[in-house]
Amino acid sequence: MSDAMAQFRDAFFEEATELADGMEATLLSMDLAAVEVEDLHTLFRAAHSIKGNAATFGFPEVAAFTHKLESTLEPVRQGNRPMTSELREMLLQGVDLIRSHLHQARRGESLSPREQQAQAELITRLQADAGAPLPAPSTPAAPARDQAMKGGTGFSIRFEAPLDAFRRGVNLERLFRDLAKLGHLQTWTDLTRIPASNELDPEDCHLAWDVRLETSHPQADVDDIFEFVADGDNLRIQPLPPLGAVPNLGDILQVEAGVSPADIREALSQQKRLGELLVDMGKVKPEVVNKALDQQTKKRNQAEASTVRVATEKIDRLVNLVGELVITQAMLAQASQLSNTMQGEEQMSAALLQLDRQTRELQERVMGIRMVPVEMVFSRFPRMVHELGKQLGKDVELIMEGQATELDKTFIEMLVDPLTHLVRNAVDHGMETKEERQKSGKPSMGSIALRASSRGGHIHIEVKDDGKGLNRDRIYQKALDRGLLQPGSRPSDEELNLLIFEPGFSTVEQVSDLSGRGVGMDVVRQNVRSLGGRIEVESEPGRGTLIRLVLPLTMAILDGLTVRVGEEIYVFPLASVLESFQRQVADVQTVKGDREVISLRGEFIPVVRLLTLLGLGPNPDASERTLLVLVESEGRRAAMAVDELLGQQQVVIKSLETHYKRVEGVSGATILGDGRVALILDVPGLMRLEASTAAASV
Amino acid sequence: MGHSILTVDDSSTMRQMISFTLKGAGFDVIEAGDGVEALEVAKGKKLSLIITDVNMPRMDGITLVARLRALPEFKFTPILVLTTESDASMKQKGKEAGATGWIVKPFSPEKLLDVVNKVI
Amino acid sequence: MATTEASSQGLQQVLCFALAGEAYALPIIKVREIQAQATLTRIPKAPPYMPGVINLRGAIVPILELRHRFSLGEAPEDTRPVIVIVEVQGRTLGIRVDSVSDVLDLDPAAIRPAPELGTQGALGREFIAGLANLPGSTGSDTMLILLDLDRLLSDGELMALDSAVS
Repeated sequence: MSDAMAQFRDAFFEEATELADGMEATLLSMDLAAVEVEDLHTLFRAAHSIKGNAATFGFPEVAAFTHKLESTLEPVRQGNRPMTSELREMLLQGVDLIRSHLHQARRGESLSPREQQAQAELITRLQADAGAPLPAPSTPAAPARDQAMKGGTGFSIRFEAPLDAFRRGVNLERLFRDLAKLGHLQTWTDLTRIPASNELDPEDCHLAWDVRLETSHPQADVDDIFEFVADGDNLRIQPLPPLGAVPNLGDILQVEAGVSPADIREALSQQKRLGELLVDMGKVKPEVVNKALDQQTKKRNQAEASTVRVATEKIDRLVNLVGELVITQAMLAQASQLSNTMQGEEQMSAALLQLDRQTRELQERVMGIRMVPVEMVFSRFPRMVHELGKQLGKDVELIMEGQATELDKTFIEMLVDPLTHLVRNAVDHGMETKEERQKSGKPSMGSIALRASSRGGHIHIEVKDDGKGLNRDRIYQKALDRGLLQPGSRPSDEELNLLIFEPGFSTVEQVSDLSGRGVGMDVVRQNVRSLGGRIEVESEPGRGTLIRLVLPLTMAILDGLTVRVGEEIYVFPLASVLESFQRQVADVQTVKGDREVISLRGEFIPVVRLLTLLGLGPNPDASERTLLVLVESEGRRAAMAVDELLGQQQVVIKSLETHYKRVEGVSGATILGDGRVALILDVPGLMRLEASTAAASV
Repeated sequence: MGHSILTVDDSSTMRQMISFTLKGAGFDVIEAGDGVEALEVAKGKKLSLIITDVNMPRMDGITLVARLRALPEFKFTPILVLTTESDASMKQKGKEAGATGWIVKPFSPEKLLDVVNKVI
Repeated sequence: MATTEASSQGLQQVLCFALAGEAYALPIIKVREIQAQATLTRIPKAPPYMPGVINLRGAIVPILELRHRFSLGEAPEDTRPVIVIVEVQGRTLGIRVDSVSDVLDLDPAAIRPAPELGTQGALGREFIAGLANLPGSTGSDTMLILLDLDRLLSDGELMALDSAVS
């Protein structure tokens, strides 16, 4: 087996196991008194898939056995052999044997003699009361492999018969019979193209079909069947979505409920919720749609929960790196034996340098594996925006960009709620009603843009609406009422904008049914912060609002500046550090009694004494010089007084909340080289802490 | 099977090959050397399929197809024309005249049967 | 209710430890391990009975100062405290005690509910699962105080999720 194949083996085992589990579940849930034909098809397809894949990935024994099960199931699903309880028992035993096969194959072994005997007995029993077995495909491997590489399991075909089909003596019935020979065929006749009877020439052919063909044959075989009737664009053949992909709702309904693709297209063209529309059209019962939706959700969850796909080069590079590390380790071992000699020391420092580079690279590359496209969160929004708009009577179009931008997998999970809330909020509160929009001369269709991009070490995710914008006067008033602002204070627009993320802050008096649900804006901020990110808001009255989540590339690793404050060591996220400098104590001025500021290039910056702020003890008698770290967050700056700068280093972020709780001013913890825990400072949190302490002391 | 097939070709070798293959597959086969003869032979017969060469004396295949289509009894009968790979436009011409399909020369007996099975 | 969780079962295994001269015990099923001293990192503005966190093989685990919790004062200079790592309600926590002495099998029948005594200092009865008498080596009995960990840790102020500054 080629290396390329070996890579997919795990995926094969995983999928085959799932399919076997699915077969078992279907068999067990089956009501033998009223067998659902679809269940039989499901069983057949599962066996068929395992067989095809097993052959492709080089497990002929698995393929051969599942072929037997498939052959047993073929007449059953065609209605030529009843599904009896004996047959069910046999099939369940078959599923167990598939599992044994998979288990052994995974270890590169064959069935044990006992299992082989069980298999032989089962095959005999299956064939004993069966009709003629299916003709074995000469080698399932070749076509299956070809097709598995393409990923498809067949074709979706739209065929509009040429107008002169009858006059040319085309045998359409024959054509479908030939198609059916290639695999499992579902067809829907589309009569909508037939004109009114007064315009109808009975010799013209106005028929069209939508066809779903599950087959392992290559497309050339399908093309061949249509050879005499394909004319320009009257024939469209598309591969079915690959195995394991999340199917479209339409696809599921097509297969499970026999809804015709033409009906689905019509529904889609009306841009309404597909399921509802089909119910309206009387094509399918609501229960069926719900079932299909459930199935889709399940598939989607499966897809999300399953393994992360990693490019081979990434793995190769990791393997190489580990190889290099082994060499470095050997160098270090040798150097340690030569310690106290010049040569030993040189070798030691060279090896350490190398180790430093290698661990750094290893870290980066391992982190790279965790990156997944933001598409995974974005994909839920078209539907949501559409439904919200409908519910609220607003026309909203959703524009999405940068879905391929990659984010840490953890981020994706943590971003679902905040983004959902932001988008919901934009439609609900940001967007005016149609009437309001028309009055202010805007197009009645509002637009929401979701954009993801990667910029200089950060990921930006923007939610932008062209609605009415934030009402800063109202925000200001509200903030005064809530005591979030001191009377007479002059906050900047940016500061006012950010107030909407304060807990319990909502500018809309009546909380609507939609936005009232789930998380609030403060939770948005909390989640974004816990990811080490920040929020920026831009808003223009009458033009709309842009909310930007600025996130670090990965969460687990942070570039930090380690500092000593008193006896404790803290880590500043390097991203929020502008510079560090020393000042004469005399340069620190005191305003309003006890608030300290320094002047830096003409700007007054508040000084924060970390020692007191963090409650580590009273300020020691001021030495002559003060060491300050200038930090910036959410548009504000502060100079944090520390005792010593220990250096820059990457730290692995650990959660404090796993076993403890969230601590104001601290975003997490890390473990230093000597095993000690150091807390990672949350700069915006510290600023708030400082502001509230200052306010309390006034 | 009871299917009668008319094969029209000026080359007797080609006619024999087609005839031999089809008979071997259980069809009844009638032969004609050109379009004119074909029209005469076909008259009054119930045919399941007509296979005709294109380049023939007296009446070419394309004309034959059009003439056959004009006759009520052959209005919907499958007709295949024998074309050559080099002459793709002939497929289109055949179609326009009303041919059901085509067989590209050279062809093997298997290919012939494949195509015949496709239209009958 | 002052019944212990093991009262209906067989013997209950407990870990005994000392704190300011008193003998205490914890159900052994809650105990994950016992650690020697580890460097404590202080948490800003944390209450004195839960002053900080330690590194437990990569996990950040808070430390409960039982002496402070029970207002028993500072440990004498010469004690070498140990940390009993327990797992309660899915969280891991280190409890700093003066010393660990023994693992005992207690007969649930021998466990009595705590009497109404006002002599236990700040240690409220609510944290005591029961009392048991231990035959001491010198013949005099020692009283063993069985702690109810769940109550101790579900105590509002201890595990409140948000300690936002007041």
